[in-house]
Amino acid sequence: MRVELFNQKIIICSGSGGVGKTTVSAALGALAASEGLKVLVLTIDPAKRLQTILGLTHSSEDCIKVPGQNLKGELYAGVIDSKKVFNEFIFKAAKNEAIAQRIINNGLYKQLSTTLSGSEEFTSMVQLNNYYESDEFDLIILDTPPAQHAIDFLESPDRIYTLFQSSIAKWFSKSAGSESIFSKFVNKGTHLGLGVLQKITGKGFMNELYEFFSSLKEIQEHIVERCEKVQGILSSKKTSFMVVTSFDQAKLIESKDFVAQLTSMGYNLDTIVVNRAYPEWYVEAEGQENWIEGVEEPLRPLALEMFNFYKGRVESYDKLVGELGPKTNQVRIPEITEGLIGFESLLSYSKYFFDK
Amino acid sequence: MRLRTPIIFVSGKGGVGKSTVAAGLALKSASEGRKTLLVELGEKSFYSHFFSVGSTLEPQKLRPNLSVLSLSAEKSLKDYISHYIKVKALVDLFFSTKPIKALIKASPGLKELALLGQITSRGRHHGPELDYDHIIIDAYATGHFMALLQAPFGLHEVVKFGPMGEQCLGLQKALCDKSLCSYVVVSLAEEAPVIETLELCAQLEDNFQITPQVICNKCIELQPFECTDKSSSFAKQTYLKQSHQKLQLQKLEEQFSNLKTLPLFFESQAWPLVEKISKGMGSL
Repeated sequence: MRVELFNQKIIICSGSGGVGKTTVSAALGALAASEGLKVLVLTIDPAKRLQTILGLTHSSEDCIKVPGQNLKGELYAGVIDSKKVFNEFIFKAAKNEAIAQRIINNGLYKQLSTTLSGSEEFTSMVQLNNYYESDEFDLIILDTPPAQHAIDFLESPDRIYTLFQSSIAKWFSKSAGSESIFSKFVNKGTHLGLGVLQKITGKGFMNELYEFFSSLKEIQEHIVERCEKVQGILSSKKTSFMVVTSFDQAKLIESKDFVAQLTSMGYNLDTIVVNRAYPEWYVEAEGQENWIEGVEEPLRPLALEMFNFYKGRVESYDKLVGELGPKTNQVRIPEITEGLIGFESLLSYSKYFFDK
Repeated sequence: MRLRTPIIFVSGKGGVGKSTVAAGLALKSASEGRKTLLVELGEKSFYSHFFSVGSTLEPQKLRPNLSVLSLSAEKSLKDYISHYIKVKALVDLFFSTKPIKALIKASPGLKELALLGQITSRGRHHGPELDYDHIIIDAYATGHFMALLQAPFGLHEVVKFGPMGEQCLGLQKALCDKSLCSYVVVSLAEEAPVIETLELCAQLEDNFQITPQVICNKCIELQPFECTDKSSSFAKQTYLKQSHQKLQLQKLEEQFSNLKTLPLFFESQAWPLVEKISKGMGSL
């Protein structure tokens, strides 16, 4: 990793679930703040783990200055309340309150905004955009939502964009006096398709869908405009991506695909962080020839078994890295045995970002 | 453990080893003589890489009695629609229409319903059945898993009647039917996974009256040993890790009287690892 990373406006920490994105984001934030920047670490973590990691007690504020810091810069932590952000977005986008209320009271909208089906990606981008436009921070670090696959996050603005561009709402424009909820302007294929869907799900559901899409139609322009803005931010030169991955093979293969996709889409990939690559003692063991003799006799069989296991993983990783191409920066971070809570431990953890 | 229901959902925090534990459970079930299907959700397959087998879009045989299948919402919906609308041309037309595809993706709850519908079709005698004694699902991580289970409940509030309303009710009943479905939550003896495990289990209990089986994965099994300032760093770190583990295990044991632990296996090959996990399971 290079120090120039901190010249960026936005760093996006992405990766699939459970790889330690939140910890990496928090540590990076603490480090940038210690370098003198005003930093915001933004997370959607429902378990509010960022707050735990930063040693904060539960707070209802959206964004607070992390207490107890004595740094050159300042560190703020922001937690995204998905439902709240979604509702605020609707109110801002709608021309008047009646339109906003109509959307918010829609049954399917409630499902969408309260459950997780894809809405978190959307709200975290909305919030990223809000903070970016407020221009209050030198650097914003986004800890992306825990997607099943890293790529889901990247594709989400495009998905929303396509949805509203293809104007599904148009199909559901009931013509006056007509029994059918489908617009007479849809082509025959779509009409038949909608008929099939209605047969399977029933008229009640189709009516709800109609309500949902036709109410969203009112704010369609705003959604499309937001998506374009977010796309602009994501692909800006001042935005860098970090891909966090863990060491097991499945996650590594997935990260490889993700990295390839990031690069092919023209995003600015800065670093691949291999988190919890091996225990801390492994670094020492790898460098010493007679390391095992320094380990207490009764523990040696275990130590040897573990060493060989991690060595095998490192070798298979090296092979995979060879395929990633030489241009990408990589750091490997050992598994830290001490609990990572509070500033001191985060800063000492962040030293691994710049170690060879 | 008491995991003999026809359907077992496996969830837990990301990175705890859900997929390998689910595979271990499936292998165990198959070796006990039941015709078993290991199911993964979503479009991207983990198991086809992991087991180095071909496409898992159709059931792929892994071992005697054991097959693996990737279920995507679109495929489940297609199977369902084909089951009820016999005109193949119409079904094909439905799925080849691009805007319809986008609509299915965007309709809140529809994907979840399609997946749950196919998984439970045999138990509910509705829709195309998966012909297996035992279905083990490597389900989503905690948050998305709750959203999956929540779908038939939430949608029923919106659509009470008609085919959709009826399906929602049927699914609710099936998911909470203790003789049909059981639930496994995989954890690690580490702080963050334990917190998430406790939260997920409380939600399952409160919202669905479901009591899951918790499995704590990757526990280091080691005789207690002395550790002083002079000890090697291996000894110190292993000692520390072991004492963290003990603390976290206690938290889990306090909550779950039937907690099951699995040791950390230093094994990077797929099948040997799954076999070890399967043996470590004991009897289902």
